[in-house]
Amino acid sequence: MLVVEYLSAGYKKKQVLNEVSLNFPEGEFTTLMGANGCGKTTLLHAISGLLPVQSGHVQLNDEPLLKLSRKEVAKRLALLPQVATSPAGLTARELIMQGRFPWQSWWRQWSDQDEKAVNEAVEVTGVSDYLDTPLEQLSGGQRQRCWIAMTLAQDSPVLLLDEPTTYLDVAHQAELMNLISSLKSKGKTIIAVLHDLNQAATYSDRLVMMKAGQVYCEGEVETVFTKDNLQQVFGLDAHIVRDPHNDNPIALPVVDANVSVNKQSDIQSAKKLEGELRV
Amino acid sequence: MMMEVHSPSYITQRLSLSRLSGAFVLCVVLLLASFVHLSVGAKSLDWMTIWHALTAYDPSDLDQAIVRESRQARLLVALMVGAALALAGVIMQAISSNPLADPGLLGINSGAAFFVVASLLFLPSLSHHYLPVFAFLGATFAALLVMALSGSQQNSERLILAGVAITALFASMTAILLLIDQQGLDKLRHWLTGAIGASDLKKLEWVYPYLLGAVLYSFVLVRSLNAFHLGERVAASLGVNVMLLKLSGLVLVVILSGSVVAVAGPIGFVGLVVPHMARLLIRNGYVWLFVYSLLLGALLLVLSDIAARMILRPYEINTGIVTAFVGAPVFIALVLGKMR
Repeated sequence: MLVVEYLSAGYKKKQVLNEVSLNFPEGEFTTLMGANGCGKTTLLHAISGLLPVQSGHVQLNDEPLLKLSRKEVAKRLALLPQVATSPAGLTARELIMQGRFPWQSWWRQWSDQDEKAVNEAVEVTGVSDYLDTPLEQLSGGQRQRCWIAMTLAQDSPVLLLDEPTTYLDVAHQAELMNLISSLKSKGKTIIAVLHDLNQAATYSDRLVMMKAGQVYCEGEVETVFTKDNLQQVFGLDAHIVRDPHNDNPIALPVVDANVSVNKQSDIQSAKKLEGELRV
Repeated sequence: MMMEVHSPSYITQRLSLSRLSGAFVLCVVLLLASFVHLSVGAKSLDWMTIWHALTAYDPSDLDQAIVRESRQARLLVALMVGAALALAGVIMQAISSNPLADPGLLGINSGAAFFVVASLLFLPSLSHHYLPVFAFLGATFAALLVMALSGSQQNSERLILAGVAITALFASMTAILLLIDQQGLDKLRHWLTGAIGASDLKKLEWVYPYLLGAVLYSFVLVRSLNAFHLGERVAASLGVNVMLLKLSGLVLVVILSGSVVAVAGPIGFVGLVVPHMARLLIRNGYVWLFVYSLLLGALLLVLSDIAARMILRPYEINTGIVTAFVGAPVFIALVLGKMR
């Protein structure tokens, strides 16, 4: 279990996180949600030690993480930051092999264990067909799979994913979310930042809604994903309906009454125009 | 259909083999260039004389003495200066994630040069052994100034502009110093345009421990640099201590370019051009990028030094001027390519 206690962090002029306390149960998929600037990404960075913490603790199975060296942290937590670019000249295989960085040192080069971890990551993510293709020649979805494979090769019990589906088209988003969700069966604890409310509600076990650097509410999807909470956290007026296939909650933003009226009038005027053109 | 999947180690072995043979070819070319370098000059020497001078030296033979006493030193200086500048360039481009970074363009060479000139002028009694130390101080000072001016955002245009401004500042301050001291002017002016001819083996003795240490240490950083190539955040989450890496890189650049300035003056553009040449041959992986850059840098400087002595025979032009002639068009091409 990953435990965060009274964590405060931020940048020079602005404190972003304010005494956040959270538990992330082992083997579960937790999604951090909230409006832009609420501190989701900052929380991921603070947990993984990318950002110095002002106060508070982070513990993984009773071991304090903040005192460990960067490499030791990397063996326990793999963070996939928001990645928009692909490094030039690298093939998919070379990228994935970099995931073994924390396990190597200049006296301990590539080992059987490294090879095994890479092969397993390749298999799970299904990227074996384009291992020797330069990253810049891959589609966005394929590339993102390679990045996930790299974090898997890191062989850490906890995965932190910062908006893994951003920049992908809808089909690739669904594909990637299915992949990420399947990693739970490998025993991974997954913490993700997702922007899409319905993806979050569908794939996560638990939701954490954040507002202004603090946890507004957290818990199982059913208890947290409510009309009131969405209103308070996002300022969004939405109906909650059910997916007819699996009964998962889905948020549908309330549509202004005049939208449908306009649509009607649009159709009418279009028909009228069509008639005029025929004459 | 089953695809044949090679294991990672098989692929890396195959890659290393082609890279190893490439490095071998470069070594041979470098050896040939070195022979040419030894043979040309005010008096042309044939290859047999050079061979004898190197293998079975006979001090009574005047031609052999030319090789051993003067040309050999000049060759060694050219080799070391070229290799060191190229390595400084790769490291600088890596840690600043900026393909235009170069110790010459970013003011580090001119900062080192200013401190060396100032120390020669104001502390004339000081042993010349301390020259590299002043060069390091100047290089560090210039690097800190450029970093402060370029701001915390990683804006590559701003970094280059800051570098150009600092280069101009130190160049003009050096010019003022030279105006004060008219007597030393001639000797220093020669050195300030990057003169290998003016330097001798003794100067190399002051700096070679620094250079050797820097080259060895840069290979220690290779794995971290490979991870850093994926981006700063990714590297940090893979376990790289990014602050330490950047600091180490900067110290290496300061030592490499400071040593070169102390020996041969500010020679520009080698650090800019060579890494790009090496990247045409090596797509990624800093071990081989370093090896190729060291070889190509040495080769470029040996060839430039040959040209410097051939173009206006019997006169010589400074090697730094030749590298600028080669480097400036490449720089312009890189900037144009970046803007497109």
